[in-house]
Amino acid sequence: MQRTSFRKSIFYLVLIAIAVLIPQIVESRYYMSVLNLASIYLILAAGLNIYLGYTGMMGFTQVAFWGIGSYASALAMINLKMPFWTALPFAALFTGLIGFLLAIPSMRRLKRFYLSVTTIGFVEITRLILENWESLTKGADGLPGIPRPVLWGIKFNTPHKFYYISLFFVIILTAFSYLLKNSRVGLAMQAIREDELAAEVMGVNTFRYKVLAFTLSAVYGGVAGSLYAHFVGYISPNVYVFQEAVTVLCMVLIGGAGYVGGPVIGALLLTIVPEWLRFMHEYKALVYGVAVVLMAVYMPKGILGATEQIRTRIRQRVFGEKNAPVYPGQ
Amino acid sequence: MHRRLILVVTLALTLVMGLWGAVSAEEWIPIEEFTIGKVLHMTGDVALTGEKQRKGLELVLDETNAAGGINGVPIKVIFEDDLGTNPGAIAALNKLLYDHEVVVTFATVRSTMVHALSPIIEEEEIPAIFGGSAWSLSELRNPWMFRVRCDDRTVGTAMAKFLVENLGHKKIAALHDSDSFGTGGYQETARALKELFDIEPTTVQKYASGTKDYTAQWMAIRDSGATAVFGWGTRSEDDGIILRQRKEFGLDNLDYVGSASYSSGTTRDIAGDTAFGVHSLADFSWNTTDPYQQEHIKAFEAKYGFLPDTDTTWTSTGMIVFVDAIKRADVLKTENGKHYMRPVKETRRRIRDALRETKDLQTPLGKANCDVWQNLIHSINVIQVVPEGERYISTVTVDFELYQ
Repeated sequence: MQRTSFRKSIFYLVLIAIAVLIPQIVESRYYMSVLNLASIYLILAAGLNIYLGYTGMMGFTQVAFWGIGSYASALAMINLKMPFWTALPFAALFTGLIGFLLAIPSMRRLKRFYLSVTTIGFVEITRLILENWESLTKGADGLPGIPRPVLWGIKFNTPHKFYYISLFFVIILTAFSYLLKNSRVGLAMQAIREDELAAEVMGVNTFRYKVLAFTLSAVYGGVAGSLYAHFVGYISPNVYVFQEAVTVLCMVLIGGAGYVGGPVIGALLLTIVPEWLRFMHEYKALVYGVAVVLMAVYMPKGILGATEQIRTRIRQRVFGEKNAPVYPGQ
Repeated sequence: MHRRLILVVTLALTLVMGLWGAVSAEEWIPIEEFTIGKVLHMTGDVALTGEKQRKGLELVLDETNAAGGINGVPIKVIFEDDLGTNPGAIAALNKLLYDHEVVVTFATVRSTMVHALSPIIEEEEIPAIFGGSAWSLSELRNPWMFRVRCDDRTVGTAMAKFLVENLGHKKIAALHDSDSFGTGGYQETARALKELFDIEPTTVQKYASGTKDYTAQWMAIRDSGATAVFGWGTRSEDDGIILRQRKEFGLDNLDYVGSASYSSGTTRDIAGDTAFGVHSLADFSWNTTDPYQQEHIKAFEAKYGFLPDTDTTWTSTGMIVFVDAIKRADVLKTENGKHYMRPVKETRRRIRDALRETKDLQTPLGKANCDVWQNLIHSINVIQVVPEGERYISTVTVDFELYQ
């Protein structure tokens, strides 16, 4: 058991080392820019994974939290003159608070489809507020001139430099997702996902854990929003639309909902593959769409779920491990 | 003797350094072709407009290359898909800049996308032509961006003048899409009405793109006592429904002056006879009396089999403006069958300076003159939708301050 854990630690450390070395190897600012966007989507998807993958609730609010985080961070820096390193935690906490306030009535009263519809409504309401509160958000025109992060005199104004900030938050938040999943809180969330009634009977305060999952996903959305605003330097309400919410949902489902690595694989795949397919011009949307449908049909538990199943079957057939676990893995 | 030696050595060194400097300034890079980038809507909700933009651009590109390119150097345009989103547009521009290493570029026609691209354009110091009309883009004061479509401030001013001076209205209501284009256009028309005629809209009604029912908006307009309405719409589908409902509520006695999409084919198809009589301020009119523009219409129709429109003409105009500036910038040459370009940074700086000096250049959207805001087009057509199609009324040119 300890040996497996040691191997895993080495594996993760190697992955982090490779990720850290990427800007030294990749010269193209284009690829680094794509990696930055993939990191931002990864954080969004990781947040949704807590809510959808761990706790088993369906929702689309992540894109709204992304928007709130973007505006909170940008306005904190422009209007309140906060440095980036204060604006980002401020945006994360502010978005978390909004998530918490939305979660309390929603989790108490709504379930399944009704909850999903509420989250769709929240996305639209958020977009309309951002578009119409012109005195604060500059309306549909958006907020230009958002400053880049600066640390100890270093301005993170290129995709290569900004990547280190993105990577830092990806590592921190993915590690948090990992620790959460294996903690008592995470186990309680997973119990809700498997059978909410049974979990409640066993003494799990389902309402409290659902609110917590929703709030945490909002915090992740806030961090992603702040990173997006300061990476691009411009935000507008037309970015935070339902279509993007579906993209983030696809990232979680294709990577593997409930797996810590699911959003990592899903976000990287769904951000980088469309870029690889650019040479196909108009046909890339068709190829991309067919690939997503095929994966949804043949890998309903996502890439990590399929990998886990294959590995388990091999262990069962080759090594005769009849009790090898099928789901969920790490 | 010693002093003389020092003097001679110093003079000789100065001469050598001077010559070396002159040689390095004259350094030319061998190239195969001159590359221009274009961030284009190829997929997503506005893919059709992207195809039209590509055709408009390629019309001028083919003509230029058929005439021997610029100073003998062929021109190549590389298109990258913006996926219809701001992050997609950023990735497309980065790919054009760092993978294809284009020398100059076109941004897009969507103002919010141009906003998102502006920091990259400024950081990379690459001349960029765009078609987004929002006035807020001018306020960015990005020294590398040039607009080749009429901006909202010009159109808003022309719209206000037409409503008051030509149609004689004083009680005017506003109806606009709540997106960037609709809001920006409304704000500029309202500003012009206030500043020029001290008129406030009787009511301001807005809607989200894709709205199917405008009962609330039309009732509010009716109750406000307005005699005319100015409308800024982004989607022709919305404009068509708005005009149909205007008649259903018996409000077709109100004069209606709308943005360009109110005279589009799609609006006419949806609105039917309810569109007749509506005035529209369009970048481009098929019935223009300008011989150059008529020539462009013929050339476009002969090549593609359909008539040009706003989507095709801004890229045609942009390409004409680029070609003219590149010629004047003296950045390309051909010697012994080989093509050369000045160093990229110097080429870009020279093209930017040449773009600023654009003056009286004939384009499909009127004469291009660069003003202090780096806007090049200052004329807008007033047309009226009639059963036969459209009736050209006039071309309004708003005063502007030249760059120099």
